[in-house]
Formats: sequence, C-alpha cells, structure tokens
Amino acid sequence: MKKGARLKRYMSWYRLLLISLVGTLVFNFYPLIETFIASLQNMNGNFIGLTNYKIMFANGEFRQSVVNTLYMAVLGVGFNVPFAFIIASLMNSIGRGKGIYRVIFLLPMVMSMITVVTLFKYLMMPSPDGAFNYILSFWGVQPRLWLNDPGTARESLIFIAIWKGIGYNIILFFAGLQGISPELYEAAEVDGATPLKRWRYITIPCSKGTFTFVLMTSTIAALKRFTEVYAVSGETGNPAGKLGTLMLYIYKNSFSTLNYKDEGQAAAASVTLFVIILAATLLNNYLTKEKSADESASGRRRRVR
Amino acid sequence: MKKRKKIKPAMIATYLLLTVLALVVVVPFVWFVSTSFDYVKSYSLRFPPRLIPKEFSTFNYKMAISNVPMLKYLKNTAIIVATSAVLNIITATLAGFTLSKGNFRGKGVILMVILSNMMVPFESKLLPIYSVIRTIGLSNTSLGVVLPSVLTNAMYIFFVKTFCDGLPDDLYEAGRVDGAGILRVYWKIYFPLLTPIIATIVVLDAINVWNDLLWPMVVLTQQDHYTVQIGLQMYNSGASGTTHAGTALALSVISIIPLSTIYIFCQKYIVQSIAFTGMKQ
Repeated sequence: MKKGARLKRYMSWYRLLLISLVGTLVFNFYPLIETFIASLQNMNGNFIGLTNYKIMFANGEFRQSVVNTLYMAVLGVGFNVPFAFIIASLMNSIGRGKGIYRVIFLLPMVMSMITVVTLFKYLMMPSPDGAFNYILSFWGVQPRLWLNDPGTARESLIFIAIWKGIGYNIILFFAGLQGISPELYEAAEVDGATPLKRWRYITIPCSKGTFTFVLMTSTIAALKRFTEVYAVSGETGNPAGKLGTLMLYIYKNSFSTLNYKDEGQAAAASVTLFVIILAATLLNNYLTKEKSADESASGRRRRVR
Repeated sequence: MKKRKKIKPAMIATYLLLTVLALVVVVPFVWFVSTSFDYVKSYSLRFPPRLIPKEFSTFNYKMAISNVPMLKYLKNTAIIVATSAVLNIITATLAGFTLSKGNFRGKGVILMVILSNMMVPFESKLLPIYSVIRTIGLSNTSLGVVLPSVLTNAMYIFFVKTFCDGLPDDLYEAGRVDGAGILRVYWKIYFPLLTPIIATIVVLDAINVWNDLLWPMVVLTQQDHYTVQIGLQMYNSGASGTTHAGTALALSVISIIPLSTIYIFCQKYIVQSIAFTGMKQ
C-alpha cells in the first residue's frame, strides 16, 4: 500500500523525463550501437569482422584525412586559445572601450562559416588581383595561391577559422577574468609585482577553469571540422586532398551523390572519430587537472610569499 | 579601487594593439558589405580592391533575388529556428526542472543517461540518425532537421537544472500543499522564473541553427526545403551554373541580416549567454 503510493509518486516524476529518455534512446544509444555494428558489416549486412577497418587504414585518402584533421586541430587550437587569452587579458587591462572591442571581436559570430569562407575565398583569390596578394605586393611579396596551394591550404583555412571563432573564446576568457577579485591584484601591486608577473602568477592560475572549458570545446569542434573545408572545395578536399578531414570522409561515404560511397567505411570512420574525440577529451581532462593542481599550488605559494 | 589618471605608454601600446586586431576583423567585414554594393562588369571582382564603392549600386542584390529563391530560403530557415526554439524550451525546462526538484529513485542514473548525449558527438552518428528520420517520414521537413538535436539537448537540460538548483524548494512545497499537480507547479510557478535561462537557450540555439550546414543538408534534399546556408553553398559551388562574385557576396550579406539585427539589439545579452556557458563548467 505504502510502497504503491511511493511508486505512484515516482511515476508522476518519471513521465516528465519520458521525452528526454526516449530521445536519448532513439538518437543517442541506438545510433551509437548501430554505427558500431555497421562498422563490422559489409554492404549486404553480413558480419565481416574488422575488414572495414583494415581497408580503411590501408586507404591513402583516409590516412591523409586523419593527418589533416589532427594537424589542423593542433594548429587551430594552438593559435586560437592562447591568442584568445592574450587578447582577453589585454581587453581586461584597459579602462575605457572594453565594450567596443568586445562587440567587434564577436562580430564574426553572426556570420555563418559558409559566409566567412565566401568572403575569404574572394580576399584570398589566387591571382594577383586578390586583396591579400594586392596588399602584400606593396611589400614585394610574390602572389600566393593561398587556399589553392597544397602547401598553404590548411594554414589559410585555419586563419579563416580563427578569424571566425576567436571572438567566442575571447568572450569566455574575458568573462572569467572579470570574475577575478581585484584585491589579488592590489595585494600583488603593493608587494611590487610587475604587470607581467601579476599576469603570470594571478591571471593565468585563476583562469584555469575557463582554460579547461575552452580547450575542451575548441578541440572537439576542431576534430569535427567539416563546414569550412566543404565550403572551400566541396567533397573533394582539394587541393591535393589537403583539406580532406575525417568528417568530410564520413559525409562523403554516407551521403555522396557524386562519388562512390561505402556505408561500412563511413561507420568505421565514425567510430574512429568517436574514439579520437574521446581520447582528446580524456587527455584534456588529465592534462588540465595535473597542470591546474601544479599551477594553483605555485600561485598560492607566490602570493603567500 | 583608485583608477590611475596618468596615461602610461604601456596603456597606449595596448590600445594600439587591440585596435590593430579589431581592424583585422572589421576591414574584411566592411569590404564584404561595401563590395556587395559595388557594380562590376565581370564575373570576378574589381581590381584593385576598394573599400568604398565609387557608385552605390544594388545590381548585385537584384541579381541575387532574381537568380536564387533567397526569400523562400529565409522563410524555411526561420521556421526551423522557431521550431527548434519552441521544442528546446519544452524539453529542456521539463527535464531540467524534474532533475533539479524531482524526488524519486534513480535520479543520479537518469542524469548520467541524459548527459551521455554530450559525450557522443552528433556527427559520429549521422547515418543511423538519418535512417531513423527517414523511417518515420521526416526527411525534407523542418521537424526532421530539429528533432534529433532537440531530443538530445543535454547541454540545455544541464543549464536549466543548474539554474533551477538556485531556485528555492519552498515554492514546490507550497504549490503541492495547495493541491497543484507536479505539471501545474512546473508550469505555473517555476516556468516563469526560468525566463533568463530560456532566453539564453533561445539565443545560443538560434545562432547555431541558423548557421548550421551539415545536418540540414543531409535531411533537406529538395531545393524547395533548402535553408539559407544550403542555398549559399549551392550557389557558391556553382551547382546552378557559373558563380557571379558580386551576387555571391550579396547573398551572403542577405543571409546575415537577421542575426546581425538581433546582434545589434541584444549584443549585451548574447555576450552574457556565451559567458554563462563558460561559467557552468
């Protein structure tokens, strides 16, 4: 009797979670398991063990796409996050005009990746009359091919991605910086710490929470890079496959209407992407935890002294 | 805190540096908008590039409107954004409220199950999700575009739960004593108090959904249903003949008008919303 009443009370709560639980089942658990199973099957649904993976890892295009994805992730995150932090610190150190800079740096957020790539495709036109080449010609720099040259395509793409995405990270860091108690800085100033030292021993340790978050979200987004490469060269990943990413490989093998597609390959690549993202998340967690314990300890020690 | 009145050289250098960086953002943007109003008699762009058009012309816009059904794309996208917003509000507040104020067995486990959505990237499940959508007959519909993300919006649920944790429990008790059911308490008492977090969710979601390409492109295969981003991508890739540079720029400018308008009026609010996502880590 009493048990029944409690169960009834529980049920009235459970039903409110029904939508989300069914959603999780249908659009998370089922697709995840289905992807794992599909990666072990051929096109006819027969179990073929790890053959899809063997074929995939022997495939030059796939290997190149993994290399490109990782290279662009390291380059992108490696520049974006530190620069965002430095710019946010600079913004935090000035008196007036913070708001204006904030508005400007966040401006690219209203533009979609497609729009931004369109804009830079014209600015980076490979002929001498592209704006970039024209401006650089004043310094005697020879015209470059930018996105059309296999040697500079990935770097040019990263420049575009940072131009679009850095504002978001600046805002995140800036919000974190504003939460640091001014007393810390005043105390340090009284003790005669230079601005650089204050930045090193107060600002950086106090931003570790934001760093973890920004690193995590930026890394995951970078590993899933798709729209910008698709906007530059469609399914091809050209020039010379340098813009082929893992996500492009998955898309191509799942939905291509122009090229040969193989759903087993797409599934195997999806599992690979999932594993890479999981590994990156765990690595991020591990590194930031180690580093932050270390940083805050040294930060505290300095402050006490 | 006393503000230093003296202007130091370091301060001037900081302003200078920030201004240079701001120009790196602003100049391409200005070039982009102004070139879309510049009339050029070729498929390419004017050389040398200029920041101010010599003659103000809407030629590119006329080309854009007559060659690409942009208004239809705008309408399609607006419907998708609105659907996503409404459904996200319902699912996120309902689950977030329950996980915060609910009193039942297995709460921790259910929370973990729902948060598992955040650990598996949507993109690594594209094909099976698409086959679900196709099976239930939602390909080429707005609902098909928004449903998978709306039903796995663990991040928004987490936002609501965190926000709800900060609201007093007494309200719930009081409502229950008055004889109101759980749903009534949620709708009449808590829902109105959730307005700030709902606004945050709507702002972030609208920006994401408006600018998304990959998933809408998978679900919407007929031109009639294209979103703005798919339309732009199709025009730029030359899928419908040769790409005219001026038209491509004009189309891009049209595509950013809705979000820019919101940005101008709600800039402060958008910044707060983004900052909020970082705080919740």
